[in-house]
Amino acid sequence: MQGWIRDLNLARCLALALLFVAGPVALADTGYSDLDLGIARFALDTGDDAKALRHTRQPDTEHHTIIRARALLNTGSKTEAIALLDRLINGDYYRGEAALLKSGLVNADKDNRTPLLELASRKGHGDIRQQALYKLAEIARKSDRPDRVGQILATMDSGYWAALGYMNIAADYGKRDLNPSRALIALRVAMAMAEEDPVRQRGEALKAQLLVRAGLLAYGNEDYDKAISFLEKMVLESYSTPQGLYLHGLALSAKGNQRDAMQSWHRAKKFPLAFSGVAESWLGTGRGYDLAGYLGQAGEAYLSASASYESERVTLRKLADLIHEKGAFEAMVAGAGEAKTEWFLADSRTLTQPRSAYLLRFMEDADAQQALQRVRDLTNMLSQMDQQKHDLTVFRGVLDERLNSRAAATPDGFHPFEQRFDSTVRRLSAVRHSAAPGSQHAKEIKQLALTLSDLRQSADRFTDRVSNRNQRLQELSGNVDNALAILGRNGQRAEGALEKANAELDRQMLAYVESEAGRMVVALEKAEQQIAHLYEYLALQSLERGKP
Amino acid sequence: MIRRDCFSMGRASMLVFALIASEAALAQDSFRVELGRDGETIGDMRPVFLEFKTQPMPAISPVEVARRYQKLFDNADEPEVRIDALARLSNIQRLTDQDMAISPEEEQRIYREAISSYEAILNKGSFYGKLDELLYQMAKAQAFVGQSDASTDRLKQLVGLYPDSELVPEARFRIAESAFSAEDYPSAEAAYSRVISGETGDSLKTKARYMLGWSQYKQGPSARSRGRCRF
Repeated sequence: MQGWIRDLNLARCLALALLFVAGPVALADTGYSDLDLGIARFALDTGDDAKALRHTRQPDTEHHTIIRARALLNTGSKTEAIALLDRLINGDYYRGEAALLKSGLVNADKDNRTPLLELASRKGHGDIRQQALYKLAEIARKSDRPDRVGQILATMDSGYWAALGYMNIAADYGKRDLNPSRALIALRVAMAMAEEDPVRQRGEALKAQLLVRAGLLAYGNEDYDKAISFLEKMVLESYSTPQGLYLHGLALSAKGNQRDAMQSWHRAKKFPLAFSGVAESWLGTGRGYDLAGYLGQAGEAYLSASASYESERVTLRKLADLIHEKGAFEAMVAGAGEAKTEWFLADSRTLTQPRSAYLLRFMEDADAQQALQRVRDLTNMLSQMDQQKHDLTVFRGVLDERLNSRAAATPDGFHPFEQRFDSTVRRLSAVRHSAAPGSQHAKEIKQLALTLSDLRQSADRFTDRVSNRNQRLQELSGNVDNALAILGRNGQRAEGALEKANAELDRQMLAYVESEAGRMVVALEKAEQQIAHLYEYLALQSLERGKP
Repeated sequence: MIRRDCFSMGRASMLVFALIASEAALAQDSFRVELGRDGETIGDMRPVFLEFKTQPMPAISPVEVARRYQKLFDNADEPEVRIDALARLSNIQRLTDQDMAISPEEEQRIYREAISSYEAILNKGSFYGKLDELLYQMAKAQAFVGQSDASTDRLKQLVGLYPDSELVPEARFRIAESAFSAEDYPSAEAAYSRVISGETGDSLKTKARYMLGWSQYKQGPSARSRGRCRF
């Protein structure tokens, strides 16, 4: 231990100490505005709002200001954020973005929100303008002004936001109209818009959702061919695929094509029961056999469905026990390997593993996302604090080591050097007299005498510096102790907050797991119902046969 | 020497592998099976083999079916499943005319519990079955447990909301019966008259005519003259 502490570079340790002890001011800036801006942007984009705030402590440009405002919004400091946003709204470069961000803070106040969104749509560019227009369209839609919605959507560029706008208007038409034509046209436009989304995965996911909606709408209006044509365009591996497969099977079954319907349901059954449409597909298989006239296999299929729902109830019960035992974060996120190195496999695993699928479905809810994010942030924060505590403890050890080894560098230890120095000066003085004036030798001796004079002055100062060294090391040691104490208090606060956040996440997750268990119970009852119907049919058949 | 033998054996085995590999490559060119690849969309999905086979079916007695429905009714939480079980239970009782080993007390309990299921469905506001049937079944359950007024209200709701339902004539008849029992003879007379003038079977119309006469008779001389016109 002592050995490796001795090997540490004191300068680096001092830098480390300054970093921790001097506090946020030292962390705030690198001394280079552009570098601070880059670090702040990266921190903001990677979810480290605290770091973004540290590096924009003195926002001297509008770019710094908008980053600070966004970080403040993320941390919930609305008042301070609004002051910065107001400054930007009256500025030159970020008027649109600032207006859009501010509009999000006055959600309930429609009168103030609309002018801000209009400003954002006029002054903003790209995604900001599209978002602002989408939100204006939503205000008009909720105010029951479909013409105005149409006008706004017509001005939007193709892409995600326009697709969302058309999807919402299609939902309205679907509820209002007896004829699905208008809703289907709006959905078709939305699909075309979603295809233009530069974020490919987002566009594809939205398109899959739109296809399910279109398929459902067409199926509801008994236009089975149209429903099939929509659903056949769905990709086989998406979040909405199980639902699409179930509807595809239903439409085929309605057309009397039971065997093809069962192919779709068979495929849907490969997905975890957590996904919408899977439990229904298990029942659908039994129904398919029933309608195709294979009653024995229908009964077997219903029994299989029943067994799979029972098994899922057991899984959910175990999951609930695990949440009680380890907490939701550990049981559902860390335990599912989400935080491990296989993160790149997450997409394919979530579609096949029950626990990941339940986590994904749970995360559909905004409150759930927030609860999980809070736990993750606090866990990361505590981990950082542990690291800082470790670093400070190491540094504290280095300082102690230096303080203890101070005796070796005391002015007493300086005497041999002084004696040697005086002897050298005397020898030089003797040689100087023997050298011919103006000769090269004399010049060199003169230069040497000057150097020795400088060295003497420096050595005199060195004694003072060494005598101050102990005091400085003790000051640093005191600062480290303070920092450790502050870290300890912050750690306790973070642990308290984490406990509360975990409790809230557990509550939400358990409620979700319970609701899923309830869904399985309903599915189980429906399977039992189908078996009873089958029994009833067989009994009535027997009665018919028994009649004279 | 030993080394040369090893070398030659190594070369020979490589050659064999190469030959096998080339043969396999030729075989793949001529016939290729791509397992696990079935396109990108639902439309491109390749069918899997699903077996369809006819199996002998067991003989099931109506009593066994009734027992299943009763168990389903008792154990299920889902209101729609419960009322479906109840409707089918009463249907199978009616069709088979057999003793289903359900005591009158048990029947009372079932109908009493069924009412909460009907109410749960109506409060939920969404029902994928026929709402006229739901209202009719609910009225029936309420009448069965002695909630006559509530039952009549449901029947009136059925007549008002679904005038074209095939259950309307019977609902009108029961509304009239309810008015007659409450000694509200003018209302009973009007209700029976509506059954007679509506589209329904002769059996119900005959009963309605008979009860119409009684309703008029109970109202006294003024109504009896109206009754005479009908005979």
